[in-house]
Parts: sequence; structure tokens; C-alpha cells
Amino acid sequence: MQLQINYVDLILIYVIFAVSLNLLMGFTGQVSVAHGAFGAIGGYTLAYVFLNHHWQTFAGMGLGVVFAAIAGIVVGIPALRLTTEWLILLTLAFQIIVVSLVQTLTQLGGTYGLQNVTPLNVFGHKLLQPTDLLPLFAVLAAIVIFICWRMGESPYGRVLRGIREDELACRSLGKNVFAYKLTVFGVTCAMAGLAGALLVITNEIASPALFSFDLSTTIVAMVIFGGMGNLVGSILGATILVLLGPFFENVLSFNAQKAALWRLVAYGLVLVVVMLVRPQGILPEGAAPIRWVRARMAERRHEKLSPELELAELRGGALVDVAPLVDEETAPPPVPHVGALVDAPLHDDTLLEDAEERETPASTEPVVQVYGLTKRFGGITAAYDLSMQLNKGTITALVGPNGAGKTTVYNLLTGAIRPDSGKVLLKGEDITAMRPDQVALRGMVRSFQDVRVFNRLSVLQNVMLAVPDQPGERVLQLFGRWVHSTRVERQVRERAMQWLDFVGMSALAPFPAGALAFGQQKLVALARVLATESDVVLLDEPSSGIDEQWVDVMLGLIEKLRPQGRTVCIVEHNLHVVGRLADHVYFMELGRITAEGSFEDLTSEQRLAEAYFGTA
Amino acid sequence: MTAFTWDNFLQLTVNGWVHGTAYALLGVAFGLILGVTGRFHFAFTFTYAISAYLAATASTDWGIPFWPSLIIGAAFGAACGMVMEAFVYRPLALRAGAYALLTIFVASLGLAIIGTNSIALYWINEASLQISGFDNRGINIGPVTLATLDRDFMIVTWALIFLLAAVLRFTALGRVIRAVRVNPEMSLVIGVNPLSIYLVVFAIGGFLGGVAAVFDATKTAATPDMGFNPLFYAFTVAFLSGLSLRPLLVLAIGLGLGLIESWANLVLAPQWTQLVVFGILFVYVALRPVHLQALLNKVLAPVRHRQRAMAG
Amino acid sequence: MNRDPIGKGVSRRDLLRYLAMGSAAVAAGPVIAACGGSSGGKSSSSSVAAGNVADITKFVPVDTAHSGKGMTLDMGVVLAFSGPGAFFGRVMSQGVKLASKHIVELGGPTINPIFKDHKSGDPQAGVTAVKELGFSHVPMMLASYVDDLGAMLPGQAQYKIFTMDGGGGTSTFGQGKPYFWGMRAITPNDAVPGTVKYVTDKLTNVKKVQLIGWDLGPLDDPIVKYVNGVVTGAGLQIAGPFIRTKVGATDYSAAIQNAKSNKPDLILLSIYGNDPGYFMKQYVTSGLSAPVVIFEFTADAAKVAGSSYDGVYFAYDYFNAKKPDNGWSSIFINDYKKAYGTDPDFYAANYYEDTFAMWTVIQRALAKGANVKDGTQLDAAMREDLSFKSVYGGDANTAGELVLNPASHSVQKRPMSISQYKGGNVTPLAYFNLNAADYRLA
Repeated sequence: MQLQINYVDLILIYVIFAVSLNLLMGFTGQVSVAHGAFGAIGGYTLAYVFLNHHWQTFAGMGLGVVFAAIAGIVVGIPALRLTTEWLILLTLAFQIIVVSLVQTLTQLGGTYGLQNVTPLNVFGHKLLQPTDLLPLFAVLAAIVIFICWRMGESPYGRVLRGIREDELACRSLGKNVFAYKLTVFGVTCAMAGLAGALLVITNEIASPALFSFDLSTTIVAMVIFGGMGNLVGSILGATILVLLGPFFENVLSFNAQKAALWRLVAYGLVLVVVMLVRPQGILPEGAAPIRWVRARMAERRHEKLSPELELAELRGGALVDVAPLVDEETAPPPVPHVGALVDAPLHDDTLLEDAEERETPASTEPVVQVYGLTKRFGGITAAYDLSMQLNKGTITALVGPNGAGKTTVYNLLTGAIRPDSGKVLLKGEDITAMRPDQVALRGMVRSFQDVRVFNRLSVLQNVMLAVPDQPGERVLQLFGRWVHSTRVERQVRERAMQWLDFVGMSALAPFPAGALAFGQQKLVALARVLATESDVVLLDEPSSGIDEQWVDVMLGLIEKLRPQGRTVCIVEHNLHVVGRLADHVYFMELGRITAEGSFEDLTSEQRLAEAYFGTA
Repeated sequence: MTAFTWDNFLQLTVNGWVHGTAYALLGVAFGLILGVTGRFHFAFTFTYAISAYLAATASTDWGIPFWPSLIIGAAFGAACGMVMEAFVYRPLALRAGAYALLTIFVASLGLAIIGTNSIALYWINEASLQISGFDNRGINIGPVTLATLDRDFMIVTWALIFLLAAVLRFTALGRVIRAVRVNPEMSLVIGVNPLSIYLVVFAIGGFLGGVAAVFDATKTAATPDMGFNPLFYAFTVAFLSGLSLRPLLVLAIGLGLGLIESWANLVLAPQWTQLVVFGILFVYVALRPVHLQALLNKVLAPVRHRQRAMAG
Repeated sequence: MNRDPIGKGVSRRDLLRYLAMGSAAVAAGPVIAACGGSSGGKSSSSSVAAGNVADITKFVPVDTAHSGKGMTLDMGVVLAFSGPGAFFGRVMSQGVKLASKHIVELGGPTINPIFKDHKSGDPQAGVTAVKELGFSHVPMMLASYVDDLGAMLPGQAQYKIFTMDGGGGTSTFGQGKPYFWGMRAITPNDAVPGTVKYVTDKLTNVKKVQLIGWDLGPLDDPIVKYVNGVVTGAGLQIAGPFIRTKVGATDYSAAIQNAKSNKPDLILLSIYGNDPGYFMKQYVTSGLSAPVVIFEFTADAAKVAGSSYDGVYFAYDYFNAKKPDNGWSSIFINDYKKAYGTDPDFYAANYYEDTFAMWTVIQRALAKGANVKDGTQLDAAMREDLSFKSVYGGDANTAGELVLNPASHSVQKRPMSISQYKGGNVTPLAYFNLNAADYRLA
């Protein structure tokens, strides 16, 4: 009995490791091979204060968790700007540094570690046996799972997944990606520290060998084996990989000398075979046994599946890259349902607690003012002394040949890149030095030429991410005001569905955005941008890459933004589009604005007409 | 730590140069594979070790001279790598989609575990194997001693690295490899099957790694887990060179790493040197110059903004 | 290229393999006083003829009334069966199995070894192994790697498992621990006095001595202090400050360079595993010709070194299978060769004799009427007489002797030798015990 419980205790420790790493790696896309090192920080802190300062064990554990959290943030800061491969290298270096440190410092016991970490004393009762430790470990594991679940499967988790899919797109929807990443690093590394402390308690020793690179890679394997982005998967992954040891010990125990080696071969074989057979892991993202059950029950009652269940149905067992669902050529263009939204004012009362009155649009009131914007990249002048203005309730077009710097203008306006000189004012406020998420929160968002939908999120989730003022996206509100954030989530979903209706994509709500045809993705991206309810919308080539029918639909939608009081700017090549939509046109060449006026003004200008528009 | 004398400094420099050459070779081999195919080939630890074991068997048991044994061993390592690519990585990549990097990493980890323990099982009656046929002597050049094995190792390695650089730059194969690295899908359009190029890359990378392994084992011994530490160096050097296909850059970085590690002995006790090396690595990755400016901007931006707001 | 350059941080494999597979252990500061009494016995200059297994009783007395015949007793054996130390773990297990066989033939109990793998120093594996033994109420065990680097100590204390470690001994941190006993010499310290005595005796032109050893941080200090004390106490000089090498390093040119500048007449090399092999390969081409004393000899390191090991001295509890110390050793060597096809090395010998030591303790316990399935009672039986028969030392008619210290739980008497290697043969030059006691030339 004790023997089995001993393994359960071990499993619980690894579950804490795996679930927390999954939140970091599977949900937020931050690959870390240093999880063992954070465990070392937690474990060694406990051992050190226990042995040298006679701290009570729980206090030692608490301190260990705090130190691990701080270390997590310290590693998270440089990690903010790193791509996956560099992040792996950074975390690898950190792992080696930590273990080298504990191995060389005398105070930490050197190679032999800190010994005599005597059994945990809880209210005078010594926790000697595995059964004694079980309740404590189970409670701690449950807390960790709960926190990770709440953070991962929630609006907060939706943002994390958005970060994983496309950081820039996420930022341009108003999410402070840095804050999210640092929080997740801090929280998950704190949990690793906790697991490390438990490891020390179980083994009554803190030694470098306990927290080696092997541990970190094993935890990574558990997460991938169990299924990235699926917390239940991590629990399963940890359980299975821990139990493989004793399993093979029982099954392969013929020749003591060789058995140990054969067991390792068998273990390696399991890893390889399972990866080949089920690369998405045992439980892929979104697959949850309970949802499968609910779906079957709903079917039996002949109910319509909710979007979540539909998505789960699709995801359960589905591979991460799904073939396009709809063939763009044969599919009819979507039917927009604009009724609900055109009449409804922005910042709907039912959605938010603070309502804002919309004024009637005035077409000469400048919302965005740009003065003398200049940007050079090495020897290339991307923008030079650019001045322009976007007036409220109008559609402005930015045209020019390829390489003129039009997308650069968007990047400069929204803070994706910093100008060398110049100023950008949004509603009178100087936003020149702001980050994209700050700009987005102040009311200016942009779409991307390459669409940048969040591929592995559903269409609905893509749009839900954009809806502003979600309490569930903030950690404290997520935990502190649970009922409220759950209620708001329902409203957010309705709101997002309305925007999808507006662009005519609501039938595709449960499907992963990456499975859609390009034109459909563009419409979803439009819905996403509109869902931010920002005053200024910058669209980058909204009509490119889609065929005529869809272009008309797109144009119709954009036209409807004027009466909503929005200020729109479009970068375009298609003259038909520009002619139909633009109230005002800026012409750019080689980073400069060389002409502006109405569409007719520009097309009547001889030089432009010949060189760039073709003879009329 | 080693006292600072000019003799010690020179010797350490020579040592660092030799080690650096080894790191460079590892970085080139691993970097080629990871850079072109995107496969995190953890099982490099196995192909490394098996090359040494084959060379040892060839030279000691079959009486084959050193240099042919080296080629046999390295070629076998290359073949093992190709088999892994064909039967494990390729099918996995086709199925795993967006998670390919990590899924292949886990599968490769599994292959490494299978491989190293299989070596231990097959050669269960030996703690290690020796490679025969190379009569290693020390050459004294002034105050410095250089082993003939190290000298030959450096000559061979430098030659191989320059050869690879030339192949990548001047030959059709090299162009194809570079093309596949940059855009595998596009390569299909121009009639090149990236997957066969991947096999070629695994062959080259495996062979180079095998060469390093055989020299390593000749200097010391062939043990089942001899590949784990080299993997870390391979990985580090490959990344520091940005996974670019520029063998000469990798050579420079490998040498730099070897020299720093060696010179560190002048100021630190041996057990501190790896801490310093990885500390430097951490700082470098964290503050890579490209991002330093951006970080400064972000840190200073709210300050600037507040100043402007207060001013205007 | 360094085999273990990032080793300690990244791959503990090599570190732990070399570290705890015997040596690099550090003795406590104060010297453990040697008790009186003889251990080595008379000299034996030629190899001893092997007898039958039954003849073992001439050397190792058996209490026939309390031999434990017919009983089956579980004994845990936690060794390295995977990882860098796996080869030696297997060798150790062979010693155990052979001893079990002999013990049954000699009228003893069936000692059933329960083999478990600590994966060459993985604390988790060791702790789990001990817990499993504890849950199954196994009262005794053999360990290695200094009790898996101390990780198994708490479990042994909690589950009261009587433990012997003939691979790593006690080192510093394993001394005086409940239920745990180190059954071999701590190197280099235990062997240094005898070595120095031989040097002053026979290598009379040696004046300056250089110590080169593994860099274990502050753990080096007691070793260096002790060695320096012994060297200067014998009238010799220290050639220069302690030269540290990295565990698992393969490049010793810097260390050798350093040593050269100190102009030593003798080098004491406290590095283990295959490292001495790598060292010597470079040493012989370096131009330095001072003799070298190494505190461990493995066939593997000799293979690595090849001819560069010729002329090197080895000083520790070396098991000479070609020139057995006593009659029991010969029987052991013979039977081991029959069973496994090779000569036994010191690891096989240690674990062979330790299994016999277990049997001795069992017999004592049975004689007292104690419960041999109770680790505490076994431990108590051990303490009554801390002397055990050994395959080291002795002569053609008497087994050697190993005596433990009740405070440190390490050896205070352990037959050692200083030998020289040449062309595949190891020739003993002198025998001695701790603190150079019972010193005699071969």
C-alpha cells in the first residue's frame, strides 16, 4: 500500500511540474527547458532555511515559491522578445547556471547537496510515510491545477493562446503582451518552485542531481506526451511517464544486470511510438472527456451543439492543421446581418458599466493628426516628413506603388515601430511613443496585410479576444470577481457573434480560424478589428487576395462604418475600391506623400494617371 | 586556478584553440541539421557515440588502420541519422503540423535513450572501447605542448569546415541546401524535393559529428553516453551563430567559446568555468544588441511620454 | 575536448561516475587513530595456490550452530545498473552473486539479493529503492556511490536497514550515520601515510611532492591539509600549491604545465575513474618525468592509458588477482574466473567480502538469539565486533582483516598496498594499513 502511495506522491509532484509548464508552454507558447532549475530554487531555499535558520517547513516552502517566482520574472524579462529557438537557448543556459551554482557553492552543500532535511512536521505530527504526505501533496496539486485551469480555460487563457498564435496581432488588439508573459512566467515558475520543494521533502535531500537537465527534459516530454494546451493531458502525461518506471520494473525483471538497460530502452520506445502514433499528444488542446460526454448527451436530446462543443468535437483527435473547410471559389459570399449593429450604438450599455455617448460624426473633425513623421532603416528612408490627417466619420485612402511605405505608416501610427522624428496625435493625445497595445486601448487599431488570424483559436474566439473591457482578462478580476467575469464572458460571446453576423461569418464560428479560406479569414479579421469598438480603424489592403464577389461584400461592410462614426483609413491598390470608398486620398511615393485630395483630383493629374494609374 | 605566467597563458591558448575547434565542428554539424531541417536532433548524442564505437570496433577488433576506421565510424553515424530522418522525423513532421519542433524533440529524446542504452547493452562486457592505430605524441613548441592527435584533429576539422563552406557557397548542391533552408515549399516549385535534401543534410551533419566523436574517443575512450556533453556545445555554438549556414562564422564562434573557457582557468578554479561560460551565454542571449535598443525604448517610453505630457 | 566540461551543471553523469565510484572521498579532519593489533600478518611473496570453496572455512570461521542454514534472507543491493557507472555496478553484483553461492555451499543461509538501480547517483532512484526495500521489510542492504551520495541515508534510518558500502565507503558526509557502514579505504587519505613511507624508504631521491587532484571546492581543503601534513611530517617538501583539475577533464596540459614549473620529484594524483588514464596519456609526452602515484587502478583506465601507465604507482586497497593476498582470495579469484571468465577487480572483491561480512553479522545475531530480519538488531550485532575477515591482506593460511571504527563507521584497519604497473602486470611493492601501520615490503 505504502509502495503505491509513494508513487502517487511522486505523480502529484510531477503533475505540478507538468501542469504549470503546460500553462507556460502549451498555452502561452513559451518553450522552457529550465523548469527543473526553478524547482531547484524552490527546493534549495527550503532546505537552506530549514537547516541553517531552523525555519518551519511551510515557511521555507513559501519562501522557496517566492524566490522561484522572482527568478521566473527575471528570466521572463529577456524572454519577452525572443523567438522559440532563442528562448530554448536562454532557458538552457539558465538551467545550467542554476545547477552549476548549487553545485559549486559550499553554503548549498556542493556536489553532495544539503542533507538531513528531516521529515515535515505538521502540528507536531511527523510526516514520515508516503500516506502521511499524500493529503498535503494532493491539496497542493489541486490548488495548482485549479489556478492553472482558471488561468488557462478563461478569457485570460484566451489571451495567452492569442499570444502563442501571434503576438503582434494580440498587441494590436490592445493586450499588454509583456504583462501577460511576465505574469505567466512568475506564476508557473513559482509552481515549479513548489514542486521542487516537495521533491526535497520527499527525498529529505536537496542535491544538484535531483534538479538536472534530465528533470527539465522529462517535464517537457510529459507536457508534449500528454498534449500541449490541455491540462488534463498533462496530468495523464505525468502519471503515465512516472508509472512507466515501476511498470517496466515488474514486466522486465529477468536479468538484473541487463534489466535496467532494457527498461530504459522500453521507455524510449514508448516515447517514440506514442509520438509517431499520436503527435498531438494523448489529449490534444480543446479535447476534454467531459465535453465529449456532453456532446453525446446533447446529440441524444437532439440539441444544437454550442460553439464550444462543436469546436471540441472538431478538435478531439483532430490534427492541428486542418484542411480548409470551405472552398472559396464555390462558396457563396456571406450574407451580412447588419441590422443589429447598425442601429446599436457603440459601447452598448448592456455590455459595459460605463456608457459613452456617441456624437454625430463630423466629417472635418480630425481624429488622427500626423506631423512630420520620419523613419530610416539603415540607408533606406521608409518615411520622410509625413503629415496627414484622418477626419472623423470619413474613409481615407493611402495609395501608391509597392514599396512606397504604406504599411510602414501604419506601423508608425500604431507604435509597432518608433519614428525617428515626428508626432502622432490621436484625439488630441500624443501617442508617438506608445506601444501598440496602448494605442489600441486609446482607440486606434489596424488590420494586417497577411491577415494574422489566430489559427488554432476558433473564429469566435478570435473575435471574442478583441472585445474590450473584459474583466476575465485580468488575473485579479479572474479570481476575485468570478461570477461577474463569467457573466461578462457570456455577454462578450454574444457581442462577438453579432460582429461575426455583421461580416457574415457566424456559421463558421466554431471552426479553427486557420482552416478557413483566405477571404473568410479576412472577414474574420475585419470582425475582429471592428469588435474592438475603436474609433479609428486602419485597414491594410482589405480587398487584396480575394475574388470579386467577396470584395463587394467587404466594401459594403466598410461603407457601413461611416454612419457608426468610425474613422477609417485603407491602404489599397485596387482603384475600384478607392474610387468607391475614399473620401480623401493620400498618394505616397518612396516614403513621402506627394499628393492628396479627392479621388477625382488625383486621377485627373496627368503624371499620376500615366505613371501609376494607367491612362484613364 | 592556474597561475598567470606567459607559459601557462600560451598553453591555455593552445588548449582553447583545440577545444574551440571541436566545438566548432559540433556546431557546424548540429547547426546544419537544425538550420536546414528544423529538426531538434537530440539523438545526435547517439549518432555521435555509435560513430566512435564503430571506429573502435573497426580499429581494435578488425585491425583496420586509424584513418579508414574514422571514415567507417563517421559514415555509420551518418547512416543512422539518415535512418532516423526517414523513418521517424519525416513521418512525424508530416503529421504534427504546428507542433513539429517539440514533438520531434520528444521523439528524438526517445531515440537517444533507446540508442545509448542499446550501446550499453550490446557492449555490456566493456566499460568503454578504445580506438587503436593512432600513435599520439606530444610536440613541444617552446613552452607549449601540442599532441599530434590534436594537431591532426585541427587540420582535418578545419579542412572539413572550409570544404563545407565552399560546397555551400559554390556548388549546386550548396545552393539547393540553402534554398531548402530558406523556403522548403518554394523549392518544390523549382523541382527540388526538400525531403531528399534533408537526408543529405543528415548525412553530412552525422558524418561531421562522427568525425568529432572518433577523435574524442581516440583521445579518451568511447562510452555509451559520451554524446551528451558534446550535444550541449553543439547546440550552443549552433545557436550563437544564428543557425545561419555559414560554417566559417560557426568556426569563429566555436573558437571564441573554447578560448574563453580555457582562459577562464586563469582567474577561476576549474569548477567555476562552466558557470562563467553559461553566465556569459545567458547575458548575451538576454541582451542581444539588436534588442537592447528596443528594450531601452520601451523602458524609457513612458518616461518620455510623461515628460511630454507635463510639458505640453 | 572535455568529456565533462559543463558536467556538473548539465550532465552529472560523468561527475557522479568518477566521484563516488570509490573515491574522491574526503576524510574528516582529525586522523582516525589506529587501534593496536595486527592485521596484515606475515609476508607472502608468491601467489597462493587455490583450494576448494569448502576450504574457505579455514579462513573464514563459520559458527555451524548458528550458520543460518536453511533460512532465506532478503538483502537489498542498490547499485548503478544504468548510466555511466553501470559497468561497475554489474561487476559489483557479480561479486554479490558469487558470495551468495559460496555462502550456501558453506552451510549458510540463502541470501537473496534484491537488485535495484540508483542510476549512477540519481537521488530520486535511490530514495525510491530504499523505500521499496523498507516497505518490504528488508533489513539489510549493500550500497554504492557513498550510499547514492547520501540520498539513501534517511530511508535507512527510517526503515532501519543495516547497510554496508564497499564501493564508495563513507566519505565525509557519510560518517557516523545510523545503520550505514563504509567498508573500504577512503582515498587518498587512508593510503597517503603508507605511500609516503614507501617513498622515503625506497624512492629516496624524492624531495619535493606535488599534489594534483579533483576540484571539489572546499571539500578539497581537508585533503590538501592532511596530505601536506603527512608529507612535511616525513621530512619532504611540498613542491607547490594544490593543482586542481576538473572532474572528467580530458585535457591536462595546463595542469601538467603548472606542475612542471614547480619542479616536483613525485606527483600524487588524486583523480579517479578514467581521468588518470587521460592524464597519463598526456603526461608521458610532456617532458616531465617525475614518478606518479595514483590512488585507484581500474582495468578501464589502464586500457585508456595503454603504455603510458607503465611505471606508474598505485596506492590504495587494490585487489591483486594475479598475486592474491591470502588463501581465501585465491579461492575467490578461481571461482570468479570460472563463473565470469575474467579476473575480479577490487569492486567485485569488495562486494564479495561484504556479503560475507553480512553473513558474519547474521551469524553473530543468531548466536545471540536476535532477530536477523530486524535491521537494528543486525546493527547491534555488528557493533559487538567490528572486525571482519577480508580477501585483502593476510597470508596463505590466514585471511586478512578489516576493522571498522564505531564512531566514524569507516575503516580504521584496511590492508592496502602500493604497486607498480608495467606492461599489463601490477607488481606489489609494499603493504601497509591506515597511518602506515603494519608497513612491510613485498
